[in-house]
Amino acid sequence: MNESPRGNMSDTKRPVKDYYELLQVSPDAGPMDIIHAYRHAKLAYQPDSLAVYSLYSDEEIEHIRAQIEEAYHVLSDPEKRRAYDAARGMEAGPEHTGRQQKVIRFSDYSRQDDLQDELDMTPDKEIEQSYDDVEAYTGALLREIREKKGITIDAIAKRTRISKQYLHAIEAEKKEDFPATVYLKGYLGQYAAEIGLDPQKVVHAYPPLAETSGT
Amino acid sequence: MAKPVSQHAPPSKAAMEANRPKVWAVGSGKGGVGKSFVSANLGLALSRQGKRVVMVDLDLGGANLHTCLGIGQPETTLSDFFTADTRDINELVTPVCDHVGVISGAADGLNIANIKYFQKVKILRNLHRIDADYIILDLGAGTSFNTLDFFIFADRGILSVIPEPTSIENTYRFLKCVCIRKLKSVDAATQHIIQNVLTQRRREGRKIRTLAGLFSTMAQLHPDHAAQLARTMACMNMHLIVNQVVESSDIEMGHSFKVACKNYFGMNIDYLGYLHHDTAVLKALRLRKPFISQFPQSRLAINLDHMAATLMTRDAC
Repeated sequence: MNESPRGNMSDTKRPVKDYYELLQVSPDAGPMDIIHAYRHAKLAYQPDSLAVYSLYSDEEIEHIRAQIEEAYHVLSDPEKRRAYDAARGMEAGPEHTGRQQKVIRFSDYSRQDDLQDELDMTPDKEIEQSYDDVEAYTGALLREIREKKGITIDAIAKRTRISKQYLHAIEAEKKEDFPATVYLKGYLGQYAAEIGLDPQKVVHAYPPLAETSGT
Repeated sequence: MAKPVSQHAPPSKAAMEANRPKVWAVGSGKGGVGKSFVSANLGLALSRQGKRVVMVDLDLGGANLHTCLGIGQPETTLSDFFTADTRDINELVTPVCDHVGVISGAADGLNIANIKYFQKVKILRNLHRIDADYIILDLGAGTSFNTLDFFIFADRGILSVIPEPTSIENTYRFLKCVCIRKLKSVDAATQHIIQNVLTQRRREGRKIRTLAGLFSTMAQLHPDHAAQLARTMACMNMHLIVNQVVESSDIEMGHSFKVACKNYFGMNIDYLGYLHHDTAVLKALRLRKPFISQFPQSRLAINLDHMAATLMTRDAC
């Protein structure tokens, strides 16, 4: 057996399966741990199990059950387990036991065809829209929106040629740092545009500016 | 600004250390599986251990946690946080009994079930300011973003499931939505790589079909980002309670659920325990008395005490 890519179940050359992962036990599990784990796995994937029918097709469940039996057959027999451990050690290398390296089996089985259909990593529309009906664009909120969008102060400074000091002052609501209110208004508008907000709306609902207009 | 809730017990040591209350959220995909029952009685179980507890009814539009706690509709509700000029969230707390308070979810107003983003953020920002050792969030059914975000925000998420196909299906659905929502909080670079991996595998005809598949593929192709991803997902501490158990096979259902979650979602879920179906629950509810106070020696009450104690131990370490 060669170094088969992990998780590639369609590979015709059968990789050394991670029986420990199959039964969800650690490689140093004792015989009783293995019996318990086998029992839970077997019951989870029994034909009329409530826990799995909505996740997997009947065929997949059948297949998973066969693999659980196979894993138990090997791990419950001290002789076979020793031989398996030796083969597995060579195959996977010492780092195999590391947490991140864990092979998750069955992961190609699913009633669902493609995860990507659901896993939409594009920016959140709900959040985007809701930025429009905020009662006040506080410095903290502006910063939060900016960070959510992954825009750095440096990037805004570079594009708008506004000093970083003023950009930070906007987020800290330090009105006194600006030579005059009109500068703050101007910079705030440009800043808002950079993070995709309506400059007018932001200027109107920026608390430090509201205070002036009120008095 | 002393609250009735806080007058009796001095802050416990653990809370002093952490300097903020622990937040537990109780959720599920489906209604009628005992979220409010679990929230109310876990909270009361905590108070029996000398903890100061505030429960927050976030089942907005269908709030009835107060009934499970045996009190009438409180006068102040979360609505006041949005309309009236309530600045301190502690003003919303209605005392229930010693060490226990509740913030009622508003039931009035057509629009309260659909709180806006900034209103949700306002609640989230203020939860840690509540003067208590433990805060229990009783969430609504379904998978709205608001519900998911409250669940993710909590230090511990408790899923209540009953041994019925509909409940289990919806709980998986809920869990998947939670995971996907949580995935969005990883850094932008990792998100980008996830998108690329998914697209690449789709093009190669080896579609990634489950979250577990995504995690293992990421571990294989981008170990650094996979580690980041694993850390993000591991922030969520999830616990399962099988409620309304009738047969002994229902108890095993919790183990099966745990096994399937690991295989399908790549997530570790702790099986916290089970609660038997008991007509006394209905009896207590009709008397409008909290169950655990009405039947403190019952099997259910003992199990609830045990669950609260288990979770408290986890919080301590």
